[in-house]
Amino acid sequence: MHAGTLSTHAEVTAIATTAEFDEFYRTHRADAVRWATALVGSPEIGEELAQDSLEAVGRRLGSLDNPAAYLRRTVVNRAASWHRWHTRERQRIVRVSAGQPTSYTAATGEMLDALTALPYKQRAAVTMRYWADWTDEQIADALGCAPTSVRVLVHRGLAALKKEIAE
Amino acid sequence: MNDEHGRSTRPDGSSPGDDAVIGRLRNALDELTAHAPAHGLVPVEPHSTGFGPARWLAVAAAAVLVVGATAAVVINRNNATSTASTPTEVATTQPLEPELIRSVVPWYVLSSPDLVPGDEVFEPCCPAQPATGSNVVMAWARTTGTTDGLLTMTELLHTSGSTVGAVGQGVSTREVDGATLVFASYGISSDERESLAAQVVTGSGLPYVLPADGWEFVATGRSTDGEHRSQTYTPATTDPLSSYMPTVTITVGDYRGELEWLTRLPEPQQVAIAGNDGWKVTNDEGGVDVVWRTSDGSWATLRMDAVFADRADGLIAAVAEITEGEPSPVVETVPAPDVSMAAVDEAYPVGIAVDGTPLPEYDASGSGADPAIGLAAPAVLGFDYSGRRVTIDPADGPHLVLVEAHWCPHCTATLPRVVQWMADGTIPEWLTVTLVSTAESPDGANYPAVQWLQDLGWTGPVIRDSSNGDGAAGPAAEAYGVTGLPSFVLIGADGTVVARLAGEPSAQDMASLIAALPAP
Repeated sequence: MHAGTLSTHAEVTAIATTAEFDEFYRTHRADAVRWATALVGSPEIGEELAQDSLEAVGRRLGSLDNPAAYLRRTVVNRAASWHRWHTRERQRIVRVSAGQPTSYTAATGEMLDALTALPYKQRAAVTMRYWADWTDEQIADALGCAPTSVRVLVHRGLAALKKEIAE
Repeated sequence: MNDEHGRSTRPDGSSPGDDAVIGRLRNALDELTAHAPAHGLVPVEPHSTGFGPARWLAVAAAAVLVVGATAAVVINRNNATSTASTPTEVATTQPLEPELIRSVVPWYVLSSPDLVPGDEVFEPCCPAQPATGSNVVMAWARTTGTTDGLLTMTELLHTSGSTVGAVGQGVSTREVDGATLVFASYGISSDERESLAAQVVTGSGLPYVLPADGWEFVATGRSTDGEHRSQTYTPATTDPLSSYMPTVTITVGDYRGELEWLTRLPEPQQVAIAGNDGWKVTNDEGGVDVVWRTSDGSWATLRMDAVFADRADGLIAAVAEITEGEPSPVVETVPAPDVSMAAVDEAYPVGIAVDGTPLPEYDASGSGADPAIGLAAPAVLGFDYSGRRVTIDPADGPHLVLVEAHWCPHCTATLPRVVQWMADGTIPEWLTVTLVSTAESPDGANYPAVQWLQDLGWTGPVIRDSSNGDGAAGPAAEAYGVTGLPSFVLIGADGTVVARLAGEPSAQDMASLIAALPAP
């Protein structure tokens, strides 16, 4: 067992023991990777985001009332951050276009393309509602909005997906 | 249960017609996530350049060493084992790299009452981008000080399949073996820039050297590699119906992409920020970027989205340097909006509120009578670009509603005429005119819309429609049954629709439209 403290900006935050973190990590890692992968559309990037999110949660584990909710929020926020950076850098940087063949079925490829076309909040709401089976309240907490707004996001996201797929 | 249109809905808001797309969504995401590594822990190969994940991991490892916990994640990303390790192993497998300290301090905070900070993030730049194709960027300054002259250079490699985009005005280019060198400058003449660009030669240690008297090398790096510490600030209250989250971000690190921004965005303005000399540029998205060199030689950026552009100087003044472990200094903050967004949001929890039945869609073909005429117009409540509440309430008397979008050329042609008609009386003073700015899209022409409205001389009330950023009409426009842009909706004193019009009206058209409305 090991315990200690982490000082940031003169704020002392209690941390969890290594054993507690190991248990949290083992329990939640698979879900975190799946969520992040679904949110960014890439298993490799999803893995990185999930690892970073788990580490971020681990630093605060001892002071969190609901670490699982914090992990959901962290994954969703980091995926949002990735989308933001990814878009900006793609616009700014002249680069080689790397055509990467995929091994997905045509139907999956079409759906992933349709998801990519959605605004991030809609993508997150639809994905977490219908695939990850999060409740509206959990999605609202992760996105930082009201549950009623989640239902609007889900409705709009589904409508957009149907339109994209139909075209 | 049924929705307002009589369709069958479920508690989650979906309908039987959604089952197919939901099924496909689940299948696709199952297939996608099945590609994720099945084992618990993934090794990460050290990055050959020293700028990539390995250094990022070392930062994390250092943090873990201090914390004394969380070691399992970090260590196992560098070891091909599937078992957790102890903090002691971190010290032996991931020694601290001295340069990493540089990207940690100094650090900065932004004090603004309407912006809240998110988590501080340490991350490599551009993790999704391929390592190939990265551009070397370099900068030189006069030895008398960087504010007295700055030369930046970007090396655009002639990689197979790559293209060199427009490099902008006010730059010099030189072709060298296998690359194009793009030079930009601050504080010197174009002739001097040309002269300096001609003197740059390949170096034995640095990628390039400028052997000119009076000039010193200040920085180099790759525009797409490096790591940085960043913190993003977002509004304390946001529009929950909009997927757009405006941000202000502070970044400090050894990522040198900011130098490339200077190259691509000529005519930076010198500014003072947190006691340092920096440069301010307006980026190609209408936002403002500020770049400055920190006291330890790192580079820092303050990047704000376009919606903050009109208060950029205030936000720049609100940035202050802090020392780790010490309380944040008291900083002169920018004024809060004159209306409390928190209070407004509490009363009106969505960005756009529609009270009443939306009007039927307008048939622009002109065939048949407009079915909306004589119907009660809905009341629409929203906010303008300053966060002030704006209402179009039919109970308030006659109203002309303009629905416009910044990217719509007909709107750009029409709006100045409307301004003129309001000035010359074609649109009488007693008629309230409110503009609904809808369908915003960062990819569209004339973005941001708030600037477009200012440029066209619109000073009247504006409701900013909720937008997904994809150019689609928002709920305010939908409430008026808008099917084309620009659209005009004339509401009478009794609160019913008198006329609707879409397209570019002439002065005569507008006069005829208003003639149908009895003067009060």
